[in-house]
Amino acid sequence: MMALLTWTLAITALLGAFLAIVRKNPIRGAVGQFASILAVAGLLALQGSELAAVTLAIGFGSALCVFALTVVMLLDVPETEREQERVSRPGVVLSLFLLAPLTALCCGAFMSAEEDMNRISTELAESNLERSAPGDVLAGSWIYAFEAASFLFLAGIVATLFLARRRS
Amino acid sequence: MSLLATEVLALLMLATGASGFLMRRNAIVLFMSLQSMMCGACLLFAAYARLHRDASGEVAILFVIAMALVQSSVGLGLAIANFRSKRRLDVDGTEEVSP
Repeated sequence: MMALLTWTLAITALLGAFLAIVRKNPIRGAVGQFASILAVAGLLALQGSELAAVTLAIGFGSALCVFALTVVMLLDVPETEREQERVSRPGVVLSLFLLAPLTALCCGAFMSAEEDMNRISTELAESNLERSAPGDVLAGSWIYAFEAASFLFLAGIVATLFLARRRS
Repeated sequence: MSLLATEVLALLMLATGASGFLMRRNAIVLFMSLQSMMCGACLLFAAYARLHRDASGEVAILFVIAMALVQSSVGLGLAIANFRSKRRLDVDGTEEVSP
């Protein structure tokens, strides 16, 4: 049952991401992307990272909603403009060069190394390492990075206000 | 899901996002492609955090999400500025948008 759920979530995550880039209308693509985000959050929860799963669902989901809805609805972008987009031809060629070897590499790795990787995972998972709480780690060695992230947010707010202000 | 399957899924999500970023020019689709790439990275972080029983991987996911939020707000500002000056959602010619 758990394996079925995991594979369903994995396929949903991939299909959603794929739909997001192939749909001509970006709002329809955003629905696929939203499904993909929820599926990835489900996969994170199944791996025992519940905090990360909830934060990802809320953070990425709200960012997507704000971005897509604000751009399309507040700016009142017409339907024709949303669907009028020329696909970059060099980009298509580049992505084919990127996707084909990666897919071949994944299939090859999956067929040849699955047993070895499963053995390593089992050995490491059965070792007696205690898993620490994310809050302890965040307040310990990551505290300076945590403070730096707040400056990043501040810089983001200032940059957005500067870019989006109305020119007289 | 085994570690290898998670790695393959993360790699495919990264490749899908990278393809979308290279092929499309719409600002919303570019943003969604970046999100797909970040989702792939988050999956890998979670898998290795579980494998090594170390919560640093989960903390790294929180930072990835923080970065995505900042990126979405700056991207929103850029998209608004671009649409006001060019009446288009395409990112072609964005370098000409004056702040």
